[in-house]
Amino acid sequence: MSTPSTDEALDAIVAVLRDELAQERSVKVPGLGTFHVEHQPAAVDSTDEGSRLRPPRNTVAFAPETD
Amino acid sequence: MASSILPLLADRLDVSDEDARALLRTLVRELRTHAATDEVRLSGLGTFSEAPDGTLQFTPAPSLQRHVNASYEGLSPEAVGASETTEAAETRTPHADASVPPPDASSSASDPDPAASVEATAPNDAPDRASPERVSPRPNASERRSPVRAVWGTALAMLLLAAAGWLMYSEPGLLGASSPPASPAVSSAPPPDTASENESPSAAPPDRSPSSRPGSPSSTARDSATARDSATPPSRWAIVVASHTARTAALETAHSYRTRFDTVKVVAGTVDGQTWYRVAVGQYDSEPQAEQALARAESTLPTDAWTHPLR
Repeated sequence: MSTPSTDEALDAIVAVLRDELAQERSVKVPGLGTFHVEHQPAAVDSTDEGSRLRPPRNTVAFAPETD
Repeated sequence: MASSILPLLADRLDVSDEDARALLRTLVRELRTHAATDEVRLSGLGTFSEAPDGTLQFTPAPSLQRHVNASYEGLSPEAVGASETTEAAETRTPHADASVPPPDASSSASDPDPAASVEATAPNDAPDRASPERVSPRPNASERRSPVRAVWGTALAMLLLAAAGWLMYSEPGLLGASSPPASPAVSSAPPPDTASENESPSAAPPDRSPSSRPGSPSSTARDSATARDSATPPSRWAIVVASHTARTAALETAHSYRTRFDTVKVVAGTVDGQTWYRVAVGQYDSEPQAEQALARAESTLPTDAWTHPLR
């Protein structure tokens, strides 16, 4: 079990975050903050030009850790 | 409830939790230090920066946004009035466009598989496309009867053979040596495919289907489409140029792309209980190839065009 390099550690952090967020799970990174996914269901937007059905979307959100 | 990244990171790196904690602490400290003066971009994740009030900000990378929207890729807003109109038209004339099965068909809108694809076809294909892609998994009536016929035929053949044998033994000169008795089993039990042709054209093989007789242009089109579908590997890629909640609207859009792409498909999928019909153009062996094609045609395609797997 060798010590991972900085690049390996960074790649692992990114991979873990991507995997967890794709499953819509929140992940807390100590000292940094919490990543989570906000789901926006499909909705109808009404404007002067008419109504449009907006498809559902997921958005990645981040809440920084406060000291 | 948020879970800590530490055990996941330790598992990924195959190190102890303590080692993972130490690594993470170092990296976070570096990140915060750099973010205080500049943007820190992590490929595949996003960009960290410090707001004027000192709080850490994060902007997700486009690839991450796409990753978490895998279920919704290729969906774009559409005018509600238009879809209602087209859906209403479909309700009035459910078979007007037979190129796409109705929502209760096995491979259409109700299919939970987001990549259940429906080939967009030329209007003159419509009359011949009504049944062939809705083959019931149950055997048809003629197929179910065939084993019964075979049993009776075999029994009859055995009786006839026994009678013939008895005649041959009792009267050796009755039959000539050069004319053995024909096997009645063959003639008394018709081949199942022959029976299918007569009784269930929809379940017959393509070359026996009445709608696929030689010279029928629509059958040729359907056969080529079927062959193309069966030859398609389970995972290919396309570019989604539009999406609609109405099939007819999606087919109209698909037709507008037919002159520019060899392959144009309407792919039905259910997202959050809503059926969307994506218009997918092109066909590529891998996501990078689809991405390259999208980049090349970017100026002529909608800005929200996506690459999309065809499963």
